[in-house]
Amino acid sequence: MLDVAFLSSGKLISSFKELPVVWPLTATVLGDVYLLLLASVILACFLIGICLTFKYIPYLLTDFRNASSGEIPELALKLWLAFLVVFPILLDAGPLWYVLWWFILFWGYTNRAERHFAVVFVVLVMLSGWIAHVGGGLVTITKANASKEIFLAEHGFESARDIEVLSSWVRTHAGDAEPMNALAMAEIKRKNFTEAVTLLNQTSNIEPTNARFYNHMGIALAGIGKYKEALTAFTNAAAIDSKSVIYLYNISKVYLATYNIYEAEQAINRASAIDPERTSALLSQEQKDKKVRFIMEAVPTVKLLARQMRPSEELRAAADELWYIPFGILKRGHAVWLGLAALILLYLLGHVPSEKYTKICDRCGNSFYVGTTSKQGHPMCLQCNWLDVKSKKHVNTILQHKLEEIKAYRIANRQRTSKMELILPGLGSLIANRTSRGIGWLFILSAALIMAVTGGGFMHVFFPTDLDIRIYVRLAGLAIIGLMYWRAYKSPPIRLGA
Amino acid sequence: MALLGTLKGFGVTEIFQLISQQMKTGSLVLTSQNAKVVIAFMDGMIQGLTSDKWEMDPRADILLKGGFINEKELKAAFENEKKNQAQWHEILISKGKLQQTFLDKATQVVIRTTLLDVFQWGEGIYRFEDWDLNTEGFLTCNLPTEAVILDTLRSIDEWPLIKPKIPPVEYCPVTITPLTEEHVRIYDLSGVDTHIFDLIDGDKSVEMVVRESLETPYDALHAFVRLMDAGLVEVFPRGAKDQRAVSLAKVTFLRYLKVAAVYASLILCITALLLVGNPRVFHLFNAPTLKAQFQDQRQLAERYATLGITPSALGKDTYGR
Repeated sequence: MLDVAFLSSGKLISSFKELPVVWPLTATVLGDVYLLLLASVILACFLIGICLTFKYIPYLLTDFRNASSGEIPELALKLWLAFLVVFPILLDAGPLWYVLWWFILFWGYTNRAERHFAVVFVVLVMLSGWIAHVGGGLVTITKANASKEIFLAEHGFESARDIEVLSSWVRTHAGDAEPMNALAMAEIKRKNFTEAVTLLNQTSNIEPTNARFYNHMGIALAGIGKYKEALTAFTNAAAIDSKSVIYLYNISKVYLATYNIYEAEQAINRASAIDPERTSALLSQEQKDKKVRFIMEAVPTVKLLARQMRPSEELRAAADELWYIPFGILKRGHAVWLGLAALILLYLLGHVPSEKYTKICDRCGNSFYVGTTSKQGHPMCLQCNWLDVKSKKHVNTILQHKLEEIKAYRIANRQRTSKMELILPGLGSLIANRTSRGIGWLFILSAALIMAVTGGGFMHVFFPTDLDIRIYVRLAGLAIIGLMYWRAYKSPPIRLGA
Repeated sequence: MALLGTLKGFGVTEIFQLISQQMKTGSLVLTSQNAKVVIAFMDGMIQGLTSDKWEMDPRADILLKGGFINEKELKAAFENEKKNQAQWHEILISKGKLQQTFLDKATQVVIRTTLLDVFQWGEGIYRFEDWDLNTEGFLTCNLPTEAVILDTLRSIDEWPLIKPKIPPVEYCPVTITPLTEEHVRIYDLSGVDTHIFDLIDGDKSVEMVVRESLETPYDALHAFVRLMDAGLVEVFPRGAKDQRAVSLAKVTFLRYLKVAAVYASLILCITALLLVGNPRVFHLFNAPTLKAQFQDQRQLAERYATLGITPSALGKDTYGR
C-alpha cells in the first residue's frame, strides 16, 4: 500500500511560493482590513455629521429666531437647538443614528454634493445588515460552521475535540459535504479506509461534481486494495477537473501499484503536458523522500471563506453586535426598512419650499431665502447669480461695490476655513462648500486615525504566524495624519485669486 | 433695432442688463396677463415708466392716502390742469399745498414698487424699441439700472423671511420702549426703521404708518418686522385702544406662558426620553460576543504556538509528521 501525502493544493501556494498564504491568515487579514474599513467609514461618517452640524447650526438657530419672532428667549432657543441636535444621546443610539438624524435635521440647508453623500449614506444604512453579516462571518472564523475544525483535520493538526466537533456537525448537518470530507481525510491518515469510504460515498452523493471528493475516495479505495475502483474514482476526478495534475499523478500511482508501468508513465506525461513545473515538483519530492504517495487536497481558501459566510448562530450574534455598535435601537434585520424610511423622509423633506430655510451665499456671505444655486450646486443669492451671468467687461461703481463685498467675504472666509482645516482636516473644506474634498479628507483622516490607534489588528491569526505588521500600520497612520495637516497648512480650502 | 421675445426665455433682469450694458436709449414694453408696463431708458439709465393699470397719476393716490394732500385740493388741481397748462402737482406745489420732497418720494415708491412687481413676472412678452423715446405720461426718474437690479434682487431674496411676519395692516402698532442710540446699534436699525418707529403714535394703523412713511411697502413692512423682532414695537387689533393696558398685560402674560411652555416641554421631552429611551451612555456596551471571538482566536494561537506549529508546515505534506 502506498503512503498518503497531503498537499495544500491551491494554486495560491504555488503562486506565492513560500509565503504562508493559508486560510487562517488570509481570512484574518481580510477580516482586519474589513473591520478597519468599517471602523473608518463609521468614524468618517460621524465626523462628517459633526462637521455639517457645526456648519449648519447657525442657520438653524437663525430660522428658530425668525420663527419665534423674538418671543422666545435666546437661551430657550439654544437649549432646544442643543436638544434637537444631540437628542439621540437620550436613546440607545450608536454614532450612525446621529449622522442619519443630522442629515434629516439639516436636509433643507445642505448643498447638492452633501445631499448626494447623504443618499449614499442612506443606501449604506440599507445595506448595513448584510455588511454586518460579512463582518460577522469574518470575525467568527474559529467558531462558526466548523471551518476551523475542517482546516485542522485536513492539515493533520486536529485534536480529539476537533474530531468530536466534526462528527457532531456531520450528524446534525447531513447535507454538508466538507466536514465529512475532512473527517474522511483524518480517517485516511489514520488508515481507517473503510470508514473513509463510507464518509466519502456520502460526500459524492451530496456534491457529485466535486473532484476532490473522488480523489479522496480513490485514495481510500486504494488503501483497502480496491485499485480498479480507485482508478475509476481518480479518473472521475480528472474528468471533472481536467486541469489538475494531482489526479493524473494519483492515477499514475495506482497504475504503479498494479505494475502497469506504461500507463503510469502515460498519466505522468499527460500531467506534464498540463503543468510541467508542478508535475516535476511532485516527482522531485517523491524522489527526495524516496516514497511513493497519493496526494490529498485541502479545501481551497476561497471555498473556506465562502463557508465562513454561511448563516449560523455564532455569525448571527457577532453580526448583530457589529450592527448594534454603530446603530442600536432597532434590530439588524430592520436595517433595510430604516434606510427606506430615511429615503422617503428625505424625499418628502425635499418638497419643503427652499425659501423656508436660511441660506448663506457662497459668494458674498449674505443670507437669503429665494436665491439659486451655482453650477457646482452651492447656494447663491440672486445678486451674485446675476453678477455671475453678466458680462465681466462692464463694471461700474455700483457693481464695484458688490464685487468689493464679495472679495472681503472671500478673504474672511479663507482665514476662517483655513483655521478650521488646521483644527480638523476636512472641516474647513466642508464649510467652504468644497464638499468632495472635505468628505475625502475626513475619510482618509478617519482611516489614518483607526490605523494609528488599532494598528489594523482587530483579529488574531488563530494559527501562529510571525507576521505582525501592526507597528508599521500605526506608523503609516501617524504619517498620513502628519501629511494631512501639512497639506491642510499648505493648501487651504479657499484660494485667493482662484 | 427692436428686441422681441418672451420672458420665459429671457428674464427681466437679463433684458435690463442688456440695455444697461449696451447703454441703449428707447422704450421697453413688458406685457403680462395683468398689466402692460413701459420703461424708458436713456443711455442705459432708467428715465421713467408707465403702466396701463394707472387710471390717474399713482402718486396722487399715494400722497392722498398718506395725508400729504387733501381730496378737495387734489380734485381742484386736476380740474385746473388744462386751464393752467400745468400738471396737478405743479399747481399744488406752486400753491404751497405740496412739498417737492414728498412728490419725489412718492415717485420713488411708485417706480420701485412697479419694478419689484415686474421683476417677479415669470411669464409675458417684452419688446424694446430704440427709436422711440416719448416719455409723455411717464413717471420720470433717473435711476442706474444695475442699482435697481441689485436692490430688487435683494428684496426678492429676503421677501420669504418678511412675508410670514407682516402684521395685519389694520392693527395698531405701539412702541414698547423709547428708541435709543444703543437700540440702533444693537439691532443695526436703518434710517427707514427709525423713520417708521418715529411715525408710530399709538393711534395709526400699520397701513397708515406705511402710507405716511412714503417708503415702498416692502421697505416699510420690513422695518416693521425688524422693530417687532427687536421687541421695540407691538401691534394690537384696532379698537382695542382702550384696553391696551389690558392687552399689553395679556400679551406679556401670554409671552411668559409661552416661554414657560417652551422650557417645560423641553424638560418633559428630556425626561420622557431618559425614562423610555434606554440611553446608551448609561449602559456602556462592551461587545461581549466580538470580544469572546477575538479572545478565542488569541488563545488558539497561543496553544498552537506552544505546540510549535508554524504556518510553514501547512504547505507541506503530512508524511514527515
